[in-house]
Amino acid sequence: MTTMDDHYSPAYYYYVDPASLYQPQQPNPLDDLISVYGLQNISQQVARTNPDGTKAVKLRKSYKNQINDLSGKFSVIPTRENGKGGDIAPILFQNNPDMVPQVHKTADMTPEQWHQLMCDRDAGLFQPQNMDWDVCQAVLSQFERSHPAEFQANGFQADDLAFDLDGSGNTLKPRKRKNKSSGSSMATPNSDLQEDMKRRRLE
Amino acid sequence: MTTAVEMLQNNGLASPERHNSTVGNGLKSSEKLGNNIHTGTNKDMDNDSQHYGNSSVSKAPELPHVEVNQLPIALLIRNLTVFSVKELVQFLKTSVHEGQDTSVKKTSFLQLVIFLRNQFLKIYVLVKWCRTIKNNNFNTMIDLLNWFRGSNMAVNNCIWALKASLAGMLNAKLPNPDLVTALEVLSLGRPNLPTHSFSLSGEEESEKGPKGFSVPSKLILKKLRDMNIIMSVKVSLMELPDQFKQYTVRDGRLVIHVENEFEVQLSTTDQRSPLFFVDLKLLFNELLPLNKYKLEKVINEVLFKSPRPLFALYRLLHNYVLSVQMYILHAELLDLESNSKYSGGNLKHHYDSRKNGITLKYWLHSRLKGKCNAIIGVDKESGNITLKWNIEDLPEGNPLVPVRYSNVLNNLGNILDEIMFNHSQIIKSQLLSTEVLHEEEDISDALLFHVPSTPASVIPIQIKINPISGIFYAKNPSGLLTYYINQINKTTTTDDFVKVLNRLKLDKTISILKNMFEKVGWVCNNVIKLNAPISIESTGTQKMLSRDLYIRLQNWPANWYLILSVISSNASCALEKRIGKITASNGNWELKYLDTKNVATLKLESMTYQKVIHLKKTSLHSIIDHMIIDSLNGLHMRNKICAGDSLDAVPEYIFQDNSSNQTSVLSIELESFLGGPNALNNLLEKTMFLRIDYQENKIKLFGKFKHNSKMICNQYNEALMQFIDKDSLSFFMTETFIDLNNIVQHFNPFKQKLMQIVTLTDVIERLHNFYSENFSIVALKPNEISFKYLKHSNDEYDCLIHIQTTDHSVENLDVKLSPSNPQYIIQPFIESSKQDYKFVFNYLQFTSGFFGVVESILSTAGRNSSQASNGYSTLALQLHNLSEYELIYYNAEVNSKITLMIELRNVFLNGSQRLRYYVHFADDEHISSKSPAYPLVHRVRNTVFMVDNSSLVNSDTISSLGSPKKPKIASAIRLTDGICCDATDIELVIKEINSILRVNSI
Repeated sequence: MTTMDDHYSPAYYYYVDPASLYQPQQPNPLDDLISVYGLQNISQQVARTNPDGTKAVKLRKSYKNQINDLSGKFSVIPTRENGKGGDIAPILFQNNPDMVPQVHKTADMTPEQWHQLMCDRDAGLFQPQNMDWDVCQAVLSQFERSHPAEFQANGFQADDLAFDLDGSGNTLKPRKRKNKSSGSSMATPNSDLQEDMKRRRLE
Repeated sequence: MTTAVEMLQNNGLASPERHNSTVGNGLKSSEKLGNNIHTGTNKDMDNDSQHYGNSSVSKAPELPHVEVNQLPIALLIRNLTVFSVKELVQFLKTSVHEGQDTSVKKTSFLQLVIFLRNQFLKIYVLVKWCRTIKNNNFNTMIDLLNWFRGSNMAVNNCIWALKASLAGMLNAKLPNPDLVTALEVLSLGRPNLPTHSFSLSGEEESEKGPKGFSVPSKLILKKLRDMNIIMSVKVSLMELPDQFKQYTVRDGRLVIHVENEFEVQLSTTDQRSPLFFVDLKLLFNELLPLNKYKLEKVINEVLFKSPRPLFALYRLLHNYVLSVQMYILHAELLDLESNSKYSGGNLKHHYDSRKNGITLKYWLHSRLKGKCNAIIGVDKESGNITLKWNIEDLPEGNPLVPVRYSNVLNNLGNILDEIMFNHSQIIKSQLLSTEVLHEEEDISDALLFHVPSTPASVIPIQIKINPISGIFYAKNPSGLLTYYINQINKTTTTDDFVKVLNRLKLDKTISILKNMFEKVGWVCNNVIKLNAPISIESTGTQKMLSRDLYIRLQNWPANWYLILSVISSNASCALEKRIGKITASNGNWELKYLDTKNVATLKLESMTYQKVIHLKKTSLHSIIDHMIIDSLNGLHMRNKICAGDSLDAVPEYIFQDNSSNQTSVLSIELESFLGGPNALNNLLEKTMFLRIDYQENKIKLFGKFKHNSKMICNQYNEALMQFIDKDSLSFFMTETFIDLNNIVQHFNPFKQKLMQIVTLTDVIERLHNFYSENFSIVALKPNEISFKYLKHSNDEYDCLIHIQTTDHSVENLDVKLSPSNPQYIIQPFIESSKQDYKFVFNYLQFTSGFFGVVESILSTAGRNSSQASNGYSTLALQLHNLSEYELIYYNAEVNSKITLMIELRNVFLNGSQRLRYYVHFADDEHISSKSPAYPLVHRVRNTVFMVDNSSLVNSDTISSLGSPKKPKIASAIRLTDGICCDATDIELVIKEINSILRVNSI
């Protein structure tokens, strides 16, 4: 009978096994996890506002501003939207290991040897079996002197080259200053999209 | 891209900085950014973050680290670089071939370069962004985000699991625990009830012993007395309904007695408290178990809540009593339906507990089902249970039949008995009022119905109503009766009921009649079914029923029947006797002929075997009459049967030789009988009579001439017809018949004969007109007439007319002249020209004189020629056609010929056209003056053709002198070339010319 009772009614009233112990969740979500993990600094950097309520845009420099120090003249910012940016992700994350040359470390290798091997692993790209310099020369020699109108027919714009041909430097500089004076860098034509992309990256 | 950012934080191995200076810059900057160079494991990363964080961070619990899609920046840059080199090589390889447009190549090269540059630009920008982040603990942010996501997911999962377990627990329910009692039991060991160990009576004291709590009996009695007073005061202060006037107060209780309903006991605690329930008894049935616990609850609630508690209590209890009583009735009815004499579905009821009513149906198997019902319910006025009998057919203003019964309880069986008895009485009186049924004197509940057993007598049939089932039944019923009783039990109205009974009577009558006829030798045809009854009277009125019997005798003509229409009404039964012809065509029976005039109506009672046998004899005659009429109608002959009164109008001579009674007489219209020609209308009376003698199997056709046609009477052949007597104008023809069916065949000979008579009479009449002087009929046969018409005829007959007939008409008359007739010469012309016989007669008449004289001349010439064969001129007559003859005188010795032409011409004379002879010499014959014939011709011209001057001068003297040589020819017109005269004078003219020519030619 006792076994029967044991079988049908457990010793505890609620159907919770008293033997199993439950610990509170760690970390406690009620805590200020930003400070727990020492992320105040970075959160301040990406915060929309400063503690005094003014707008904070420290991390939010635009793409244009970032490339402003380059010697090119980017009249058009290459983005995915205008079709000139291209998609970089599949290039960066080469899932195919054969795409890039691989080297393997063997046990009897000295650190110097290994270092040398690592340094030279991509040298093969320029070896004749991969790169035929004669062909390069032949092809490049075919290219004669060009003028901008020549490319118009093929849908190429010389502006895309971003050459500072007239030496005026980046045309965006004065506009940037203007933006600064208004206290915001968001006024650029495509800054909204840029900002969204940035936010997504940060998240 | 999130991971890419992190990659930038972790500097990998230095990658070859070969192509892009921008990348190189990025790397440098990242080196500046990170103080240490990491080789990229994540554990190190976490440790680093701890290094950088302040002291609180070190205590922070470890977060699961995200490693997916995180690559060192060196590897990223290397990947991009390798890709760029390969792209360039690829482009160069594909562009090496000549023939392609260089500008296209250039463009695509530039595009490739720009694309690759843009990718490096992206890396550059990323590196620059990363530089702005201090402490390089960005990956912790990522881990934290990941942890938040995971936690959120876990909470969500818990919620879903809870919901699922809730759905799974639906069937597992526990009662609400009585926590209060449970606590009492837990603390006291028993429920803490207010009545615990509380006893009122002294009796229990002894049982309980000294431990029990006891109340002294004095105190109890005092309390009761007090209670009585309190109750009396309280009740007398309260409003009481009328029904509660009968109350007593005793034992501390108020006892209210309502007669026949209930007795309720109430009590109270003190003056101010409300009354409460003590006990209840139902007075009409004390054995009934009561749920007093529930009643107490309800009654106490009513007493407590109602502003007029006793009124409310009465209403409640009264309704309760009614419901209980109704239920008892329901139970009683159930018992009656299943166990009593009403079992078997004769009684049914429906108990509606909500409306507190019962609908009751009885006599469910009877013809009146649906009409027999009653309702038990609460009467609104009296408030009592009442049974109401819904009877539609109740005679108005009949107070003797009770419809409402108030004392229903315990009396239901008797009430039902009474209702059903009353109902059966009502039905009985309704049936009796139709006078079809009669009341039996001895047995009060039986109805009598008289059904004929023989034509003259009736037997009564007893029909009773079963008061339980409402079904009619008869004692020891025959098969037929059972069938009709069933029919009766299906009728719904009294009229239908009577109709069924009448049908029964009709059926019986017909079977009696059939039996009678069949016994005597008639044959009844049961197969024939006509669409409509024959008797016209029966169709008019609804109450009449009629059925037709088709009977015949074996030897009767086929399809002919004696049709007996039996017409039955409530009181009497009549028979109509007709003769008719019924044939089957296309699967239907059709009444082809019906004698509508001679309908004999008799009473059923008058039908006897003698009559039936007599009918056998008499009917046949009328059958044949009608058959002939039918046949005549079929031939479109107008006719009428002569019987009864019309028989008196028939001329007597028809019955002169009538030896037996077995005759029938029909009158026929002459014109329609002959079917067209109306020639006889002038000759015979319009009406002819047909007498059929069945005994001698003879048909006689009687006719009568209109007037005594000349010579007719005696001259008609015996074979053709017989005259009634010598002077009479009436005649008859006889035919013998063998088969009645084909009696019409015998009309044809009659018709033929009549046609012959027509023709004969017509011909003879005409002949008389033509040959008034010399005419005499020599012989008369049905087809032939022989007669004489010539002046000097020695022949047996001069002409014979043969009448050719077909069945219906005279086809032709053959005129045959006697061979010795001088006119025999024209016989072939008559035959060939097919002239009308009138013309022929006229012609013969007209030319008879001429041919007569020619005949005599020829005969004398013939005689003379035998004497003077030596050169006497011969004479010959030649016929050109019917209107031109030639008389040729020929002298063989001198070879001279004189041709005399005789023509028949129509000439105008005094304004009218007349037929005349024209006699002249042939034109084509030129007789020279030298010819011996010339003087003869000349002389003829002079004496006969030329107008005599003397006669012109004084014709009277000449005529008076009467020269023998020149006989007077009255109609002659002398035309110099010839002479014209009429038929009477042609003889003289020919004789005169002949005498000249003849004499001189000799």
